[in-house]
Amino acid sequence: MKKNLSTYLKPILVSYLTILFLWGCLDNNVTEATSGISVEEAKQWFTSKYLSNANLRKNAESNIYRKVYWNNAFKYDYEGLKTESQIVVVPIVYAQAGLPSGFKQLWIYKNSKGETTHRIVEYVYDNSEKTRFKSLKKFSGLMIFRDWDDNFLGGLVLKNNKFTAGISELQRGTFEKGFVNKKNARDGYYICGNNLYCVPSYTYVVGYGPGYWHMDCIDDYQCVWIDAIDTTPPPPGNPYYPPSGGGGSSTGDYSFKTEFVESSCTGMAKMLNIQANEGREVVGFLTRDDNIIIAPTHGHTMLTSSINTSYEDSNGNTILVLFPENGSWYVQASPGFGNWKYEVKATLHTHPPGPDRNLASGDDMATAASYNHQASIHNTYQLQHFFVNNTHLGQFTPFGVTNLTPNQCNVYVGN
Amino acid sequence: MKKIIFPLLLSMIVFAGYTQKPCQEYTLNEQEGVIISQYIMSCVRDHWFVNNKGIVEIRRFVNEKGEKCWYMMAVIDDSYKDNPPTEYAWRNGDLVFFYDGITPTSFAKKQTTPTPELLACLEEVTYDKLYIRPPAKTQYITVFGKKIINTGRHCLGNCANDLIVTFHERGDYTKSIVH
Repeated sequence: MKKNLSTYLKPILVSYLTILFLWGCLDNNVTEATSGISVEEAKQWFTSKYLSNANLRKNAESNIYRKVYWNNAFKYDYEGLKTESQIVVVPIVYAQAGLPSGFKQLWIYKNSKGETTHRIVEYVYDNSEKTRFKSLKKFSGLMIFRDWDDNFLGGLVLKNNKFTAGISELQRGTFEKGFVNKKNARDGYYICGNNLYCVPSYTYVVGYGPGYWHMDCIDDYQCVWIDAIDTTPPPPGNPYYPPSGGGGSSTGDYSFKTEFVESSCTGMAKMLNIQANEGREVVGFLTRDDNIIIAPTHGHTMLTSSINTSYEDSNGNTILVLFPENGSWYVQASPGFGNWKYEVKATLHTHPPGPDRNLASGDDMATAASYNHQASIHNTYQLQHFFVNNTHLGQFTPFGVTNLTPNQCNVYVGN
Repeated sequence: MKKIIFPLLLSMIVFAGYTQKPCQEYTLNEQEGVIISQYIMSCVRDHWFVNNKGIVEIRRFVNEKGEKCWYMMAVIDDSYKDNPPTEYAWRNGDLVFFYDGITPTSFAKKQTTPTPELLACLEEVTYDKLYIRPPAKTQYITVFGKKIINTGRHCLGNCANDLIVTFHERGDYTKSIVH
């Protein structure tokens, strides 16, 4: 009996202790700190303690690199507290093979003992709240705390910017592992999400800048164990604000822009660059003479894009159209973009890096089938369809990928 | 003697009728059932199933490691009638259509002939779970001062809730997002 009681109590105690520890970190270190720290002091402290070897790899086995954006660091003042109770918030962009693959924050602050310390903060949106693309100021989801060496320290669950529960455990690996291990443990629940190489899932997408970036992903799944405990009263506020900049954009914003690019190689490279900069797929058209027309990216995501009859600018004016005419397919731009008209022979869209980057999705194949159908009813030739990523060029039909070749135009930045 | 022959004949007829049924019910194992339940929950939560319409389509294939895989997607209209499945399954009150790939390693659906018998068989199980597609019509729009054919919007990537499930030899499975 004693053994059974211990078995049940142990996880509860561990859970509470973890939450109290985390809570203590937040309360003591942030809300009660009596001396702040400047950005310069924070940078000096962190650089000397953690970056002295200039190794920004996440860990020895990882191919994910981190870039700390000190130029975008800012001090966050907890609402209603003295200015001394500030923490320094520094954005970190995680990158894999040069592609932005995650955004987190580094917090540096002085704890109640006056010691400088740090946390890496990960924001995980709650998709069911439909806040994926909203500001972090209206955050519903998880905040996961780790240290620079990727050790999990705890986490908090937030709903509409208020803490509702704590996270005591982080499970990486497989979904079943997290589920089976914990289902009888205690009166809590778990949240799991796909956690893939450079591929965002619906759960783990964080809004930031012009596009959105997913979390750094190592395992198939990341599960967190939610402790359904009362955490009221909630702290008065949180430093959610992602600083402006930090992501950069060397290609400009193609949301409402179209461009004719001479040479398919140059055009494909530009499409991949836009994808890297905007964090979303890019659609283009291959003209009869092997040039590329880049379509506006508005409405595309890291996982999706679309081929439309018409594309509009931000005022709703049509700027680009794709249509069949007299047995051929054409793309034409509005007078504002040069009024050019080219015959096209293929559609092209980018795929983000990831384990399945060389597959044509069900929707890709359905699109190819639909255009084949359009070709038959409008008496045109069939358009060809390609995807391009930073390693391959793939051709697909309604029946899957028919041709996959190493991309001869592999001029993607970062490779 | 008659007492034996008659039930025997009857059972043979019933059995023959059953085996000739153009669409067959597949029995899910526990793991498959759990995966499908989770997928259905995500379809409902994220509104890929709307107005109580929607079924799950699963395309079976084998990956490069020889592992059994499922390509899962949500379907809300009766487009299956162009290429009807011959196998279905129930997960509680939800319907699942199973397809095989055109090749063992492809998740592009193998083409079947939509015979009246097969469609009727499937109609029996779909009830009112799917919307009826309206017939396609050519639409014209005017842009840049001229009429062009509107070919519509075509989404690429993972426009709904598509998922690939890989069943590993050790008994567990992983899920990956399609793009």
